[in-house]
Amino acid sequence: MGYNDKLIAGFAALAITIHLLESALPSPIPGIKPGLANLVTLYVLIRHGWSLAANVTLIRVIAASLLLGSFLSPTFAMSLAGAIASLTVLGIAWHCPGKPFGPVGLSILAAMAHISAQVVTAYLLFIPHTSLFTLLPILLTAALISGTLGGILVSKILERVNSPINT
Amino acid sequence: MIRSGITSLFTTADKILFIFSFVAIISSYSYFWQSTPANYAIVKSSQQDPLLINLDEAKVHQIKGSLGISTLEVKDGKIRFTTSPCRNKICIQSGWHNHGGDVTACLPNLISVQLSSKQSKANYDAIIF
Amino acid sequence: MNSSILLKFQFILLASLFTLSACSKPAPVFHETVFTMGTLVEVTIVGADAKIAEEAYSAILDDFNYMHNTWHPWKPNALKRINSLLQTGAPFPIAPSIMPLIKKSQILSEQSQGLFNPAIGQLIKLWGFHQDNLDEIIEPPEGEDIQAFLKNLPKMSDVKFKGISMFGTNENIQLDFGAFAKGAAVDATIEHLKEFGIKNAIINAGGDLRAIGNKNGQPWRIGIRNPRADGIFAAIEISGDESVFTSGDYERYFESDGKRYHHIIDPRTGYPANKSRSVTVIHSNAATADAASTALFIAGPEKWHAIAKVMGIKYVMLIASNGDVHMNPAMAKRIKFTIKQPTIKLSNPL
Repeated sequence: MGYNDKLIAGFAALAITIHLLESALPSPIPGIKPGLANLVTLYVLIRHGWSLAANVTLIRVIAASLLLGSFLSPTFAMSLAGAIASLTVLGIAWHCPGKPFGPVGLSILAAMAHISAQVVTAYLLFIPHTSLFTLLPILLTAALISGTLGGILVSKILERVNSPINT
Repeated sequence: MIRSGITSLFTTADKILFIFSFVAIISSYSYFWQSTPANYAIVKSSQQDPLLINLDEAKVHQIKGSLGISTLEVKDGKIRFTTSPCRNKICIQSGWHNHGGDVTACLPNLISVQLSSKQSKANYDAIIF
Repeated sequence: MNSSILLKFQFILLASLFTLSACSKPAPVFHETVFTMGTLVEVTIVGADAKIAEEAYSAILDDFNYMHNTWHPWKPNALKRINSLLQTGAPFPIAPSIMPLIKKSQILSEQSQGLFNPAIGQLIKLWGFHQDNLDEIIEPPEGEDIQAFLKNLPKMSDVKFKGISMFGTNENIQLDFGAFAKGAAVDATIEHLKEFGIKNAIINAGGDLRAIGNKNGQPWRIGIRNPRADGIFAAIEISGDESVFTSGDYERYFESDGKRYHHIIDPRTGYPANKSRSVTVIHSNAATADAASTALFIAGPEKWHAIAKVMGIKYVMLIASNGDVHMNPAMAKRIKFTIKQPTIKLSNPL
């Protein structure tokens, strides 16, 4: 088991745990969750690069769905679509020349991509009616808030990890 | 110390992105939402034919979904889920709905409720025959 | 300390909120339905001041009632007087209230090779369609009576104009504009709405529809009712200035001995046209759309294409009596089926 494999395994385990805890949380409006598991993706992206982050995220989505018993169900499809979309957007933003985005910007982009992909998936697979998109503004608002807060959180964690005391 | 911390968290691109997203989201509200009160709801399910519900008539409707029966309650021109066999009960927590063009759903049970402000016309501006 | 940056953000948020709420007021929608022209007329006006919409609506109601009374095919009115004068063959002063209708239908009748023929009012009357309640009709007319009428078939060209006079050249002539009058009325009232400065509106006279502008930047969505079952079977989006009209064998009909007789009479045979179930046409002008849909309905699956070409119709869907769906490629691009998509027989481009 290489160093990267160990990292992937460790972070995936952390992400799965957060994912499971989060799915137990009640949510006031359909589809709105803090998205804490995505913070692991963001952290791994910044510390270890995109491909590691992609590995961790996809393992998390599949493993968590197996544990929750939702593998290949509508919930899984939504989860996977969200993950793929946010990874794609993160990949593009991360490789932008000059790396203009910090953790907060990346987190916002990921959250927006995540929720938009989920709404589109729900539309294509389950509710083929355009009025589904009336939920989009609320969901995007929630994504902006949770994305911003999540980004701040990750920045703080990175600050701690990078501070001289820990190294 | 704290101040420099917070400021350093947002890069210039982050700030632009935040403002841009905020403006885009606010305008998406007016784009996606028309808030005329609904008087009809169309209930679609994977397990039964679409059902047209009159919101002026207080009544409890049983809808068969892919997991089982969900119950819809209609009262005072509003509609809500009261029971559902789904795990998260998100549909029930979303509460009452009464805006035309609004939609609520129980995703796990594959039931959608679409509110409309015009009788039997759903999303057409006119119907010809 | 960190409150200053938060304050800054809050200020920007509030500022953008106010700016946006100022410019995103939803456009007012005026919607009224009224029974006139022998049908349910539905008027939708979007984005106009409520007072202007109200004023325009009452003005076009007057228009509708006037045209309904003047053009009604069997009630005592101007049309009835003109019909009896035309039958005498003697010249009489041109009737301005009906003149535009005659002129326009002469051109359209000619283009349709006589399939659209508003001169056959007597034949329509013979079939019993000159009454509101079709349940009273017991049986179709005698074949001999129909043949006798066809021997001297009146045409729109039998109405002649000379100076300030007009006269008929066929004693069988009796003008019955049918749905064409509805189309002409829709055209006239849409023009009247435009004069009120209204830019976005739909007038739907019992399925005889013309729309101008759009709905808050979105095209109007028009549903087409299923001719053989309840519900909508297709949708068309229209914008700018367009009319959609469907002629169907299910609109007016009576049944006798288990057989169904509908109101679209083929002037060549004297019997209800039997090659089509319905024809849907999109055209900028409602009256033209009406005349064309009637003519193409009678023409049927083999001949519709040739006649549509002459009449300048660019979008046609014809459902044949065997259920086949025929359309030209441009129409196929615009029509969206809400039911399982039927097999479509595409024609050459129009």
